[in-house]
Amino acid sequence: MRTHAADLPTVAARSPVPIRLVVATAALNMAVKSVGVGADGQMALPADPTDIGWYRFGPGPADRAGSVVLGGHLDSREFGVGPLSRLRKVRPGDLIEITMTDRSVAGYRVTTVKNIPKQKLAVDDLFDREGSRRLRIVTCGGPYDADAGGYRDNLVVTAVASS
Amino acid sequence: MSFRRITALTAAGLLLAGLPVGVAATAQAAPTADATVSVLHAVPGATVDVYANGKALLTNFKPGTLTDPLKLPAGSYDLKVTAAGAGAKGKAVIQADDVTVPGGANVTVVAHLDAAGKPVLTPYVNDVSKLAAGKARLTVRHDAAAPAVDVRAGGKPAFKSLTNPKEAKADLPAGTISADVVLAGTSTVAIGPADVNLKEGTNTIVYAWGSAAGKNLKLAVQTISGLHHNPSGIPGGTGGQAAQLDNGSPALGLFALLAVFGLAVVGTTVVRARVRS
Repeated sequence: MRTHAADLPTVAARSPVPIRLVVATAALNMAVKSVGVGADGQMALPADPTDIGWYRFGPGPADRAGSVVLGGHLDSREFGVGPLSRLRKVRPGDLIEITMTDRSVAGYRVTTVKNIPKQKLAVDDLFDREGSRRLRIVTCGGPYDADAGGYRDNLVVTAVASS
Repeated sequence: MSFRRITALTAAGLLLAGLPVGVAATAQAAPTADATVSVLHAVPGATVDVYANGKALLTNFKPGTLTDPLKLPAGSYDLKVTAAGAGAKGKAVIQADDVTVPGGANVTVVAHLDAAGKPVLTPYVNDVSKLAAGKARLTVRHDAAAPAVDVRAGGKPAFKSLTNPKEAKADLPAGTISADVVLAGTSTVAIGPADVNLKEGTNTIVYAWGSAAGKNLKLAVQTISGLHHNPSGIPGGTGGQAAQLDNGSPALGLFALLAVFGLAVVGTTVVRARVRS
């Protein structure tokens, strides 16, 4: 049976954190903010739709496995329409680049662009901490119905690590 | 002999050797999941060997070390700790018979000092229930030859009057806390402070061990990961402006339509806009 010292974990050098998202084909160049969980149990998103959030409890681009999740508001009553309104222009094969705090850049190639009704969003797959290295960029999609809680769908772009 | 080989022998040996008949019969009737068992050595100063039902489970086991989790069949085990190299018939430093290992449970068996300083074995069942997204679990266990203590987080008592060998736990927002251990009801620091990283989706188990009289009180840490829940979803925009742009009928467009097509057409447009916006 293998054993190891049960010492307090030393504060290891922190893994690099994503700070910028660039998707040239959709003219997206956004600041990435580390986010967690909102009071309602959903992923917390930056209030300003010009920023996009990275789910900091899940995998990051530097991790060897799992799904990196970026999510942002499409628009906001306060700030108006954001750049993610252009996310639906992204096509399979497009390059996505994420710059990290250590200035390294992680590259991904888009595989699918899908509108998924919010109730059918498979969160366990979306936030998967294992499996191949992939990226999900999520915003809102479909029609907007203020009486039914806003946008009906999530627009989900899936990409696989290419570097 | 390597640890790995001993483990393989032991897992097989445990089943054949020492299981009480009743337990074995029950296991046959309704097979239960294996238990996940880790062992922590928290008796200062003594390198030991550990035997389970007469077979070597661990050799040359040093204080302050923890084994990787081992899958063991559920059942009842006779555990014996001897000085390293004393052999299966060697004098027991600690002996605990009929230690129950429940099927499917995640258990840590701790060799430690009781409040009076006598070496004992305490099996703890670890809480591996799922955590809400963004949360971490902190478990603290008093396994030291020391009086009752309070465990403080950020200088405030988080767990009060914990006595050997009791445990306390709480689910907290993930993050780093500064923890210390004080004599119960006082601000006399016995251990720490130390930064403890409560990683999201984990149960971080902190053991206070050693001896106050021996002036070697310490903390040991065990982390069990994979207990996370995912966020329930991703919220949407709050404005609806992007959808209006998609419709091609923002306010100005509406006025244009009004001018060109007249009221009847505008009426239907407004209805459509309400449904879509």
